[in-house]
Parts: sequence; structure tokens; C-alpha cells
Amino acid sequence: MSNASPFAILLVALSGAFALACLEQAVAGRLPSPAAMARGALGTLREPLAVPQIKDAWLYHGAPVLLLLGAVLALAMVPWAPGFRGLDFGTGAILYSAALAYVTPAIFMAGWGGGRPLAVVGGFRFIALMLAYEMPVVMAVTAAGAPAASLRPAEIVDIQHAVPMALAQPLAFALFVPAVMAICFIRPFDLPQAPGELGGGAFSSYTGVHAGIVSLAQRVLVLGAAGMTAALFLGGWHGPLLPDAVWMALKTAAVAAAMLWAGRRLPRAELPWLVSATWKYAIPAAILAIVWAGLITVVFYR
Amino acid sequence: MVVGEHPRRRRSQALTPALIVPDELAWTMWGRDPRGSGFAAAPGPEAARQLILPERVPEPVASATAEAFVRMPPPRRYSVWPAGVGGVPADELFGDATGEGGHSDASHGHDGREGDHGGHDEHDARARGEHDHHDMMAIVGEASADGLVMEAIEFELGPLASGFPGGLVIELSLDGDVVERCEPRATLETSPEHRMRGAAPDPLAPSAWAMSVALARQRAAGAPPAEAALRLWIAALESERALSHAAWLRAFGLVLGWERLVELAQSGITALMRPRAVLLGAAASSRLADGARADVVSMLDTALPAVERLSSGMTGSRSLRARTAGRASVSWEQVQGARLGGPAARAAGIEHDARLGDPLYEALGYQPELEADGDAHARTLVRAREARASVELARDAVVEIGEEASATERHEAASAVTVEGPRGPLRALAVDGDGGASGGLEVLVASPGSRELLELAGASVVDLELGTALAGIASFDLSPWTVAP
Repeated sequence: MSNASPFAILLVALSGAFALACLEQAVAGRLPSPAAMARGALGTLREPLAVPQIKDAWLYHGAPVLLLLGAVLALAMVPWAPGFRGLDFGTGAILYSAALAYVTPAIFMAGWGGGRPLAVVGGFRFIALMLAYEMPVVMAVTAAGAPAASLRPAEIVDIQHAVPMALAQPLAFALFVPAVMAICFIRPFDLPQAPGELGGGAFSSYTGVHAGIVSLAQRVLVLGAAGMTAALFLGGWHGPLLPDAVWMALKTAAVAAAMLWAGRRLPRAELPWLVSATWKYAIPAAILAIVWAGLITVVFYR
Repeated sequence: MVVGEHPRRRRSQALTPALIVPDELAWTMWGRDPRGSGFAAAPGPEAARQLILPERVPEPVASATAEAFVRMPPPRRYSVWPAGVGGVPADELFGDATGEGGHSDASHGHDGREGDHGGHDEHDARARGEHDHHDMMAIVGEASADGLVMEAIEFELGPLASGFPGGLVIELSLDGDVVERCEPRATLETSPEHRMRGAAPDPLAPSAWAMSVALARQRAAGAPPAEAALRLWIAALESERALSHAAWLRAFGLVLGWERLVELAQSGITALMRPRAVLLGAAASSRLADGARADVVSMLDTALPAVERLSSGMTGSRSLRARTAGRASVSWEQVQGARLGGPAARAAGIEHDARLGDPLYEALGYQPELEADGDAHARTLVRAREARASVELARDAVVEIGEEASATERHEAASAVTVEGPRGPLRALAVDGDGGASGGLEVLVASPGSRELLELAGASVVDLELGTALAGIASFDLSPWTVAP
């Protein structure tokens, strides 16, 4: 039974996205300036809607909206505290990856609706990759859920009261984090937009409000990814002294900061390498992770 | 006109994304680093908040700029910076750019064509479709690399493509996302009239061209330059090489999507801007006061650690190797056959450098940086190491000015002057001409191997995935300026 209203989830999404923008600045070594960012956001909203000559208006306008919807839905699966567990479905962990599946059509719609060759290339790059990302995510989630005998994120958090899943299942953790970063198409997995290579790629034709929604959606995705990592693998809200929600926030922030930092340190992943590495190594490793999860469940968790 | 480095913005301020015409590297070489003024290259016009352009914009970049300007989100701000290149005056570009209306008619005829990434995709697709509209399912034509008959995606990247030099146009034909055909073209040229007035044939290497032209003039006039003057030229040339390679590394970092490389390169660029500006002015006037000399030496000493970090960061980097090794290779035979010079040749193992055999360089302890593989990784390493070596060479050259000239006999075999520029050898020959500037001498210039380099670069990326291919093209450090002999 959900104990979070949609408005609360939206509030988490918006404030979290804002906090993430500040975190991006901090990781880049700059003092975050919330005032400047707020002014920038308001300026973006006031810009007149500039629409290029497009043939597929539904795709062009629908893509950012679908992206945001998918991102918020994914975020809604993340449990933040025992009293605020998001939508709290029994299969919440898998529903998280199901919600992330909306990112693929959204990006392709953006690329196709943009109508430029490079935008289309950005779109179908992501389709080629998403299959490769989705499987490690789902399998890692299954592996994390095995000891808890449940896919309810709150129960997976509860089972980590002694040992975080990252220590108990390092392989699943090592697979989950890059895969979920890649679904959020942040550096070093920013292949659909690839600034400097595809010149903005799938999102190159968006300005103003559209671009604002796309970047908001991406931040919400990263927030959800960091939150889910903290919940499934880092023990969620468990921790001494501080209140539950604070621990969850700290862990989420730490994971997000690590993701952003890694994005700055590494060059963009190359498409052929990424596809082959995922299909040849990550997916077999994910199967191994499930086997490992089964073993430790039988040995330790029963 | 060389402007000194501008005061750095506070680190707390983010860089404004701007459409920089022609590109960041060009402005860095012209003495004004956009990042130092708070602007970073935006991925495309839609993401740009400002347009930066020179007083005169060379064609065809000018028309691309006008088209890109309309695609920028309002309010469209632009600022004009001074630069010594010829072309269309900046204010003429925006005559009728009052909004979408004025340009949508023009762009309607070019369905999908863009100034930034010109797309002929829809034209080609329709043209081919008309051939078989009686059978919608069949696509006739030649089989692509994997045996299926596919519609190729054909488009042009440039002349204002992000990550690439402004003025470079790359024609691409893609089979899906694999490159079938790639033809880079350098579309900019300095007119002979401008060259008469002293403009460099390739404004991306002003010191190198100034040096070759000045030495050619002196040689034709029969007055060999003094050692001190030559050392000043060497210092200016080497500091420019270091700056050019650092600026290229920054652009390469943008193409690779590698923020760390961009930052490393930027610290090198910031440190090198001022000493290079001082040395260029000093070499052109053949004078460097003692106080200024000490200043330059200390500036180069400060720059050395930053460039050292850049160079060692690239040399040891596994990420760089993973991303660039084995891509866009040119073999030793191809380089020999095309008679290439510059870092591309040295990366293939060919010791082709105009600095070899020069007694002054030998006295400075110059050694060419060589690699064997001829791929993008090798070219990157060669340039990173050359940047570092050049800072030391420049510093030592300045320190040794005024020291006892070594009794070397400068053997002037040919009358053409060859200078090793950042991208390859530059050649200048002063002949008697009628009319023109100083002394009735006409200077013939040539950049041997630059056209062949463009062809080789295009050929080397066939059958690579698009992103890999673009990084491969970027690794050649192509100049968008053609030097007409």
C-alpha cells in the first residue's frame, strides 16, 4: 500500500533535481550558486517556444514529456524512509527497471522528431545500447532481492540491517551501478547526446522549455538511480545516530557524487566496445551474480 | 592582433555555452582564449546563449554562422572580437535575422539542411525513393559492407561542427552508424591581398608562418639573421607549438567527451597564452628586453608543470589507450607515399621534421618524438610529448639569447625556408615580384602534405563506427585553411 502521495513524490523529484544540479557544480569544482540556477531556470521558462521545422510534431513534443514521466515513475519506486516508501509495490524493484524502459522510446522519439541525421543516430544508438543495459540491471536487482525473498525495495533495505548488499554481493553491485548510469545517459555514457561528437545528438533540436524538461528528466533519473543504489545495495536508511531519512539522503548524495565524478574522469564510452562488453561480459557476469545470490541466500540468509 | 590573456573568471562561475566562430582553438591561437573570457563551446546553436565571432568572418563560415544564429534560442546575443582574418563583415551577417520568419523561407528549400550539421538526408532519401515508388518494399542499389542493400545516410558535418575546427567540412556517408565514405575538406583560404598585408596563410599557426616569411625575406635579401633573432623565432615557434597542441588536446577532449582532458589542457593553455604572446611580439620586432626576458623565462617555468601534467596524464592513460589505440591508423607506407610531415608522420614512425639537422635546435638538445603505430593514440601521444618538449625548448632558447653564439656554419642549401609548424612543415620562398609589399619581394608559400593528410584522414576512418570515426578525424589535427601555393 503506497504511503506516499504523488505530490510528495513530485516534490522529491523537483527538489532532488535541484540539489543534484548543485552537486554537479560542486563536483566540477565550482561553488554552486542556487540563485544563478534559479534565474537560469526562470529565464528558460520565459523563452518563447521556438520550434524548428519539424515533421513529427507528436514525437518532438512528446519525447521530453515521456522522458520526464518515466523518470518520475522510476523515482517513485525508491524508498526514502520507513515512513515514506514511495509507491511501495511488492515488485517495486523490478517495476523500477520497467519504468526505466520508457527512456528508450523517449530518446528515440526525440532523435527522430528532431529530424537531423545526427539526432537520428543518437536515437538509434540508445536503442542498440538499452537492450545491453537493461539485462544487467534487472539481473542485479533480482540478485539483490534474493536474500530478502522479496522485490519490495523497503524489504530489501530491511534485510541489510547487518550487512549492506554491496559487501554481500559485490558483483551485482559492480554491474548495477554502471548499467544504471548508462540508462540515465550521463557521462561517460552520454552516447545519445554526445556533445562534441554528435553535437547534442538526439536532443540537439531542443531549446527553451523542451531542453529544460529534458535536463530535469535526466536529473530525476540520476536521482532515482542513486536512490535505488543506496536502497538496494548500501543499506538504505540503516545507520547509527542520524535519522533514517538523513542517512538515505546522504547515501544517495554520495552515490550521485561518485557517478558525476566518474563521468568527469573518463572519456565517453565507445559504442562498439560498450555493446560487446555488455553482451559478452556483463550479462554472463550478471547470471553469475544471480547464482551467487542464491548461494549466499541459502547459506546466510535462511 | 595578439591580445594578452584576459583575467580568469572566478572559479565559482560556470562557463557560458557559446557558439564560437570559427572555434575555440582558432581564438586561442589568435590570442584570446574563450574559456579565459568565460565562454565554452556549446554542442550546437540550440544550446548556445551567445555567439562569438570575429570582425570579419571568412566564407563559407559566414553563411553557416548566419544560419546557426537563427537557430539559437532568443535572446540572441552576439559579441564581435577583433581578429586579423578577412571575410564578410560581422554586422552584414545579421541584416535580416529578425526572427524565424526571415529565414524559414530560405531553409524551406533546403529541407533539413543545417548550417551546423548540413543534412541532405531527406533529399537523398526522397530521390532514391522516387526510383521505386511502384514497389515500396524494395530498395535497389549497391550492397553495403554487410551484403544488404541499404539506404546510406549522407550528410556534411561542418563548417561549424562542435569539436572540429571551424571551416572544416566533413562529408560523410553512413551505413547505419558505420562510416562508408568520409571526405574532409578545408574550405578556408587567406586571399593573396591579405597575405601581401602580412596575414598568415594559415592563421592557426601565425608564429610559424611569420617566421618562415621573415626568414625567407631575409634570405632573399642576402642578409642572414642574427643568432639572437633566430633564437627568438625558435622560442616563439616552440611556444606556439606547445599552445597549439594544448588547444588541440582540449578540442580532442571535447570530441572524446573527456572532461579531465579538457581541464588538463586548459591549465596548460592558460599558462602558455601570455609567454607565447610576448615571444611572438618579440620575435617579430627582433627585440626582447632583459626584463621581459626574465619574465618570459619565469612564465615558461610556471607553464612547464601544467604541460608536464598534461603530457604525463596522456602518456600513462589507460582510458586514452582504450579509446584511441588502433583507430584511424595510417601505415608507414601510406605516410611515405603521401610524403606527409608533422605529428601524423612522426606518429607512424617516420622521422620527418624540419627541425632535424638545424644546429640551433641541436644545441638545444632537440629530439623528435616518435611513435610506431600511426593510430589516433600515437598521434595524441606525439603531440602531448611535443607540447612538453616545446615548452622546454622555448625556455632554453630564451635563456640562451645573448650567450656566446656557437660557431656554426648555417648551410643554406636551398633558398626556400622550411619551418616545422604545429601541423607539419611550412615552406616559404621569396622571389622577385612586381609590386606588393616591402622591397618588391613576393613570398610563395606552401604547406606540403596538408592536402594529402586530409585524404588520408578520410580514408583511415572508413568502416569505423561514427563516434570512433569522428574521434579519428579529430586526431589528425586538420587545419581548415588551405594554403594555395
